[in-house]
Amino acid sequence: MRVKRLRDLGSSVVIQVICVAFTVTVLIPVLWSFTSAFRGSIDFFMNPFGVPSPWKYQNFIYVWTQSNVALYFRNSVFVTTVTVVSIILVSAMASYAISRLAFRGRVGLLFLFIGGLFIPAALLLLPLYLVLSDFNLLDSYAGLVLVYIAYSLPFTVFVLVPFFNVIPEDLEEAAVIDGASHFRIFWQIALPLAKPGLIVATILNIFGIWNEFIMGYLIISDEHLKTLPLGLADILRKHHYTADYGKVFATIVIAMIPVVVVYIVFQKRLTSGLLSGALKE
Amino acid sequence: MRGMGLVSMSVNRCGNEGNAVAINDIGRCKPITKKTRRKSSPFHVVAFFVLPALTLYLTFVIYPVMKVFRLSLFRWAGMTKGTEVFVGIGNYAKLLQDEIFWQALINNLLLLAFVVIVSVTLAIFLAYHLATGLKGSGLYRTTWLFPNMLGDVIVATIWLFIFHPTLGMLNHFLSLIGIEIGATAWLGQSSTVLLAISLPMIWKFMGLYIILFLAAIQEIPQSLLDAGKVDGAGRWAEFYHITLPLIRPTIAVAIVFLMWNSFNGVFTYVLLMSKGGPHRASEVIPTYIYQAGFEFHEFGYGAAISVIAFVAIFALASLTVRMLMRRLLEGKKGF
Repeated sequence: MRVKRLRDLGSSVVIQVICVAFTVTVLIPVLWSFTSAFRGSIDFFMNPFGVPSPWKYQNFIYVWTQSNVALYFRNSVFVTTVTVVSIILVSAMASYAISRLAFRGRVGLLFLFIGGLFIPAALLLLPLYLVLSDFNLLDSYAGLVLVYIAYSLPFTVFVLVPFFNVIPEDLEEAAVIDGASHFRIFWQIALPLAKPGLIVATILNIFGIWNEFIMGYLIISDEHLKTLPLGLADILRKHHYTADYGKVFATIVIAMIPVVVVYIVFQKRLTSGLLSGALKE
Repeated sequence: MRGMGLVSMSVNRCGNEGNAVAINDIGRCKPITKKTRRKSSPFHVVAFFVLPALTLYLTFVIYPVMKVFRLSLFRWAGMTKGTEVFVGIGNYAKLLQDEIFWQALINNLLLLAFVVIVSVTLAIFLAYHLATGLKGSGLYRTTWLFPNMLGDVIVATIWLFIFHPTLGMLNHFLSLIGIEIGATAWLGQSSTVLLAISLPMIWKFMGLYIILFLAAIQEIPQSLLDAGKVDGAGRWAEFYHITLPLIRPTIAVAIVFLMWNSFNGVFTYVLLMSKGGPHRASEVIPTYIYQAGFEFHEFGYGAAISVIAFVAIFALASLTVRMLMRRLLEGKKGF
């Protein structure tokens, strides 16, 4: 018996060690980016791994004031806000219809959206470019936001439908008896009841849009319209030659801060949502 | 486009009995009462709710899909209208003899296979142990999921510097543990570039799949595990004979989603980390499509490449779509 217990203890120690090792692997690149953001170019070459000396916080001031990072940041905030609000509204309406209304083609519609989960945007770059060019939507936020909404639909509908599915029918019937229209039922009963799903969908879409690169790369070329990922890719290209890597990392950190904040605030909701229900039945 | 490609993957243990049962909101099996058909909703109501989504979706997703098929039959520089030349399957014939295409395809498959196999295996391993109620599992969960929230551009940039020959963390770390390989340019030599590009992808994607496998494993009823113990199953036997078969549907969905995820993401990683080099050693299908269109001005040819990749992906995905549809429809009430 004692041997078995010892062996159990041994294996649980091994597992803990593996878990800690994996955690370190996950964290080190992130921490390294943070410290690198405070290095001057000499420090970066002489001492890339220790504590920065001196802490060159001027990198942040420089990229914020002397490059377009502040502009990219504002653009990203604007695009993400407008896009996520629209995605949630449009997807919630469609999901409500698929889940609660009776009409021909309902299953076909769901199939159309779910199939879209598997369409890699990377394969549609050329035809999408042509479509946008036809509508004169290239290099405009209108084009970018509409494309973002369209490509976020499958995923968001996929997340939201189960939440509308589980709304008790009695509530709906009671509302109908009270003479409420479908629009009021949607707005005043369905949406509030689907709130946990809406929150998860919102968080995930915030991350998705804030970080989106491929479509932006295709659609936007005007410097003034660029979002953070696009700007970061530019800065990377530029500073690769000047070797002022501290500034690249300062930009990375600026782009990461909102993600870190949202993640810390919502991580409980997110992990528990992923673990129990939000994305399941 | 979703950076995350989040998936619902609960195991439908009730599905075996066909339509007789479904899973309700708390994941337990319940009988579906006789289906009652409701009166159709008025057209204007349906249109109001569905049209905004449907219009955008048809215009920017479905229409381009159809367009790419048509485009693949023409030779066209993509600039001026009316200069398309119909070449039939000419582009496809050309594909077969295009060494760069085959190279990109093989690279892409290797990369995908590596990312999927490593991520799924490791994720199952870690999720299984996390599910046993390891100390600090909440902290692990939170930390491991974090990279998934970072953008591909950020992840690619960080790893670009990790692989930096002289300043990079990797070479520094290797010399610390006594492996002296000098200033190896991981992204600069064809033997290591694909591996170097796959690591950040695994680093980013894995956390999500750990969480999803964890969810599936936690749903396994304790009684089943207890029964295994009574039969004298050790941990390995328990994992192999009870856990693994029960999470198999989750694994299937995870593999498809991960492939889709990597296929989409790989464009960004290759573009920022290696630009397809050296000598096309890291060229992949999406970067080659982009190049065909915007650098060689062969839109039709690029479209043909897209079509080939499309067919392959849809063949793989079709099974999963059916499964997801069934689950979404089963959860319904009242229809």
